[in-house]
Amino acid sequence: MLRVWNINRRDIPPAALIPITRRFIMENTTLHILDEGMSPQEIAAATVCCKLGPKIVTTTEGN
Amino acid sequence: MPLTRYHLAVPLSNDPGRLLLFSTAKASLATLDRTIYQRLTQNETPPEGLRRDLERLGLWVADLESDEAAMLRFTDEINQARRKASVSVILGMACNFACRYCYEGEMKATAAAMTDDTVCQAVRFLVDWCRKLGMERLVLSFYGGEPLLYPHLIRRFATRLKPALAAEGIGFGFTLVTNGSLLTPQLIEEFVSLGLLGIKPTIDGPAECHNQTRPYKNGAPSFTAIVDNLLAVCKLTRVDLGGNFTRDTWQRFPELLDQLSVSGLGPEQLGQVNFSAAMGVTDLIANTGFTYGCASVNELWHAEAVVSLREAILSRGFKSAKVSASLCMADVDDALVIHHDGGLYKCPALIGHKEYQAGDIWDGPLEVARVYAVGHWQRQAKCRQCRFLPLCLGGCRYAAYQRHGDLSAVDCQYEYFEAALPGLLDQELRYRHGDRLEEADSRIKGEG
Repeated sequence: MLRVWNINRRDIPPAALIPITRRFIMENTTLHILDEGMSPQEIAAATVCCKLGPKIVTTTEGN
Repeated sequence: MPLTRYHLAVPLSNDPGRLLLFSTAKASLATLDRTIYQRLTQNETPPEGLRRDLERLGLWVADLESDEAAMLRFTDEINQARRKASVSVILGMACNFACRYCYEGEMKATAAAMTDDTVCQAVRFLVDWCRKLGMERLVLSFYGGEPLLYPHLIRRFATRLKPALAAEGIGFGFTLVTNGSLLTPQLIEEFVSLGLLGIKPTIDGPAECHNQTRPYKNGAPSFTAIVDNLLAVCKLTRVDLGGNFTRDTWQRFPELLDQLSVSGLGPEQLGQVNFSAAMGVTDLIANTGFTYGCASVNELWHAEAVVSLREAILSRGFKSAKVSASLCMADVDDALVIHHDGGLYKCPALIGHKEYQAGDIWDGPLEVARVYAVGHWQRQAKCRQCRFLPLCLGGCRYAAYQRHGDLSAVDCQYEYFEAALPGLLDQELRYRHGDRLEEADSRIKGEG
């Protein structure tokens, strides 16, 4: 059984896992897309990261 | 066709039957059943719909050879897409603070500053350079020393650059990397009219930590003055807060967030909040008395500190930067540092190190690729085949210089990413995509 689990709702026991509908299965939507990601243009627009010192690698502007 | 080499799969914290997939190149994020993922790793061909989605997310590639070849073009593609030039301008070395870890160290004793002639030439250089590169926008980051000790130079730059760039159809804006002690509403209002986009002050944890590492030159505490000033200007411009921690202070930083919120500097008043480790430096220019900095991102405590502090930031409703690929200034064609003497560098931490000067504002950039070992990771098989490559791209050149005396050495960050990325991605999931997951939940319930 395919299933989706909302990790934000930590109070829900595993027994409450939700079966995905038949239509989902037929469309092969076993992949739950959360973020389509960034194009080179978007990465470029997120400006230069000055990695001065040990930092997490992140964009320095945007979002 | 296989999964890309440049991805990470981690079990969902509350559902080990599903995995979180992250493309380190594209920063795409999805969840997938573990069993299906396992079949994909065994080179089973996925159904058409799933394959199309995986391809779109950059997770499914034609073959590993072309996957690696595409990574070799990664920085070139980003450079070709850039339309905004980013330039740090070191106005002068004077500073009213005596930060324990300052990498500018002895250079600040000179208090040397940019002359008016140099400002004029820098403006001519920047306009010409932006035009040649086909830039649509120039963003300066004024830096020092303390840039607010040089408000007259900021005015000269802004008042001359804005119209000169506008005549070429190029936009202009600037930010200030400031210690925050000299901010006033009057100054910020004036600078906003000249193109100020935001300020980046630094507070190193709660007052008792901050006052130890970032006191005034005479040793007096600076925390209260900075917070008061930020309160006075936060409605006038964007404030992105930074802070530098050590292995001894990082656990105190959440107190700062609570103190700021109580003071009126909450998530609504601040832009991004990003804390990072104060780096250990050993060269002759830097402060030799600071011996407890972070020498490598791979130090065992560092990943825990980064993930814990980002959790503290996000859980209190503050914003923090998204995890994604980012380029070192050295790898970006249209990013530069202009030193107060007109010298050009590709890293603010290397100003004053003459061997890393790459041209000047009179003759333009010179031998950047050689001096800054551009593409150094491309020559390392372990880098080319590393799943974290797009996030690291050979690491920090300044860190390599500090450790090896040579910035062409790769600053491998594998252990850090291995330790930190699962936690950082879990945060992306909970704090950025919680709503989308709930929407999906509701939709599925409705259909079921």
